[in-house]
Amino acid sequence: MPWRKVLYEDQGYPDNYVDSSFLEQMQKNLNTRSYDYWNTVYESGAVTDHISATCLFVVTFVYLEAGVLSPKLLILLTVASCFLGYIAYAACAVHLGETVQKSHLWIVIRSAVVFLLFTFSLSPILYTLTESVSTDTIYAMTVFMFLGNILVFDYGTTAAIVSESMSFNLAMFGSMCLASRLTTVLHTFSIVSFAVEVFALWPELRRKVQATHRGCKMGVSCGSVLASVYALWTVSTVAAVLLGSVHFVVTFLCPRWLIQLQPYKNNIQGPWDEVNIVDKMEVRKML
Amino acid sequence: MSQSISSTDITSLHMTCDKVVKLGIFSPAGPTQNMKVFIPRCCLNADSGWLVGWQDEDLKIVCIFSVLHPTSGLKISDARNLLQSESERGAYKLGILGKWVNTTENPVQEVPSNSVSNLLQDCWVELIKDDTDIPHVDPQGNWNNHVTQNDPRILIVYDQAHILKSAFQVVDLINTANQSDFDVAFSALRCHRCFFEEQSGLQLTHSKSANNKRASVTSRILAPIWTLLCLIQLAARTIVKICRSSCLSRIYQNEVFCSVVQYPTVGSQVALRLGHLSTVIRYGETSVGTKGSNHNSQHYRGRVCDLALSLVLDVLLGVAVFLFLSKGNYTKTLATNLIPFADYVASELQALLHWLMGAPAGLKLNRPLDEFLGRFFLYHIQLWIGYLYILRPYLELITWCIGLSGCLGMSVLLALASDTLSMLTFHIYCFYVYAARLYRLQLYGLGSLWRLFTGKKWNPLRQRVDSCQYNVDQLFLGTLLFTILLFLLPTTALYYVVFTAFRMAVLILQGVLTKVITTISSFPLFSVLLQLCNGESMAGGITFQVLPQVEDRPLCLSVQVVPVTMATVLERHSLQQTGQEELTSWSMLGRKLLTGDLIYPWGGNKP
Repeated sequence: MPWRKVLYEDQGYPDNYVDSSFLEQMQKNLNTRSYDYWNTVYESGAVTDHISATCLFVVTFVYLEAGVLSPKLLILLTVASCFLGYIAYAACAVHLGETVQKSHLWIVIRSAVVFLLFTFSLSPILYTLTESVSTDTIYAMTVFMFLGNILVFDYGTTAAIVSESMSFNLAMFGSMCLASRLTTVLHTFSIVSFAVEVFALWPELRRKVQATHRGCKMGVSCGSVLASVYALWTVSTVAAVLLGSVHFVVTFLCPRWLIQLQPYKNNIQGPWDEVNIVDKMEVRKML
Repeated sequence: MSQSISSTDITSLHMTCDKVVKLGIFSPAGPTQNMKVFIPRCCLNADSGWLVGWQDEDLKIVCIFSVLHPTSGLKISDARNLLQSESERGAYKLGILGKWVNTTENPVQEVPSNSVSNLLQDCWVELIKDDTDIPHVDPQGNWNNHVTQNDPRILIVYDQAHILKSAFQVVDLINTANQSDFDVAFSALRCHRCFFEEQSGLQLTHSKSANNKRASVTSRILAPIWTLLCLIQLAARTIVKICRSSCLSRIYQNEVFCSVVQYPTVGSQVALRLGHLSTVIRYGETSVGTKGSNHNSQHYRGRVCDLALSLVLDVLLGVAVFLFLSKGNYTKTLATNLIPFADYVASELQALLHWLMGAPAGLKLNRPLDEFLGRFFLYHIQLWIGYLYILRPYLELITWCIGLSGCLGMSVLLALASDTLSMLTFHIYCFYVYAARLYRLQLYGLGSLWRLFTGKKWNPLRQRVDSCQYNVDQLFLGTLLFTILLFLLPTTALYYVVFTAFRMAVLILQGVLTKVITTISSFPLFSVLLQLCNGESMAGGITFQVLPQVEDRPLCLSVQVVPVTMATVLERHSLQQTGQEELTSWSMLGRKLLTGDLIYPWGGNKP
């Protein structure tokens, strides 16, 4: 009597017995995609954009603390760029064929009022918050917060590590730590509102702008990279060189590396795998 | 082989019951139930005669109390009349149950059986004792009706004197759920003990109630106690009458009034003691009316004695302390020393707060919040000093009143002292509550904001943490508050830790006081004295012993009463009501301290 793959019968074979048909259903590298180098380089712009934005924020803080940049000017810049940004956002939306509703404007205004009100009223607490804590501790904490922010930021992929709210919260925590090192209420207020603009509004606008045209994406990425490297250059040459090399590695070396590693991929799939649930919604409907 | 049944350990009771069921003693009621024959040990060596005792057909119990010896002058009808007249007095019907033949005696006395034929009961037992130690049921015996030859029978040998002496506790030790056969048999025995002790001109073999030295010692100790109790009852009854006539009782029924009065320790203590007193008085009233001879009332009597004696001890101790205090004029000394001490404590607290407002131990505190909290507590200390100044002229009176309250009992005095301690340390309590509330609020806020920080939220419907999509402004506000609360936490925690330490010190003191109070008010003095003087009279359990069995003879068991130990007495007779003590485990206390929940004194179940 030939062996059959059933568990409900005792066929007299040992438990771990399999016959020659065992490996017939094995499949290799099912989900492998072949990457195009320049396409990968182009898509890596999302990462460089975010790193650049974070660096720009840090440079702004350095200027503000050094007294080079006056808080009033920063507030003015923030408000102006907000207006311009919103107009650009609306224009891009129209270009993409979306209808901009009037209620959306109200929602934006309400959010802005909430931001400004709470930031302004809590700034007096914020700027004395970490008075007794040493500056190095705060800086170290901020570095870890921003690194975490860059790590879990939503670059448009669906990985388990990505958490939009977590990345925003980490960025805000880091910027509030920095804000608490400043000396006056106005300084604190300006840097916190600038942080909101950089970490909440700018990614939204960037995504919108980059969705309109391929050239736009290239332009925005190149512009932000250049701006961040230049801004850092004015503060510290070493940091600027480091940032430039990071940009280079992320944009050109990492895609190369990714493509070179593809041949080493060795996935096997077969009947021994656990069941792969294809569509969550489908399963939910069935249940 | 022996099994012991102890009332204190229910599980062991069940276990032993199971074992006994295998032996066939406690088989469930039904047609196959064993006939149990109880026979006193002293009768085993008696001469031949008639078996006198009590039987219950339904329960299949034959309880032999004694052996009636035929004498020349005895008419069997006289004996029957005597037994019947005795039966009318109690609930259990006495009678002549059978024949006792002792074949080892020399010469064998013949018991005339024809003369008792008219006395035949439903069941007739004939026990024959031959050379073996244990008597056996005569197989030729005349078993009437449904009690057939093949019915399994068990002989249970018991120690009559012992059972009678241990009158106090046998009842509730063999479970209360269903009255066991032993209860019934022994209560019948106890019911008729007077009859057998008087003997009424009959020649009976029966253990004499041992009027030994220990028993007389007991009675000598207990007699004055009873007189004392009577006096207390007399005094208390008049007080109660006065209270009842006035509207006091109506006020006392009011729930709001009750809760207000019982809030301080002294109120609840006085209420507890009043409850004890009223139990004693009620017992006195009922026992005069009806002669409570059932066993529940015997147990109840023991409890009442405990209550009464502990009241007396309490009051005596209290009066002694009061006399000591007033004679040495210690109340005045105490009062005059208390104020400088309180002032000293206040100044020390102020110094501590000033230290905390600096940078204590190099901790990273938030300066503005630190100063705010420091000033807040300093202001409270100012208030406290003012309060002490108001209190100063009355302090001596208060200490004297505490001493005087010793007349109501030591426990009341201690309760009042505990309350006074609470009053004097009210500021510490306030500080603790403020700090704990602040700390708790901050901790809970941080907990929920941390969930927001990681993009999750608590789902109260499913009692779990779910992921959640927040708006950007929600996230911003949450993070802002999270940052602020996180950096302010060390400051709040410091104040919380400091004032919790103070609070714990006060609580430990109060806890010791409460422990002493409960010990005094729940100490079963009467039972302890009884155990010390006459330990045999309190049963701690019973033990069965299987006597060596002879072929074709019924199973033979020997019952013995196990005397009670002191620890059991303290545990079983404790006057403390169950559930009165709030169980505070150390882990729970630690958790409460960590989360900033308020902790209250042990023993008090205040909200």
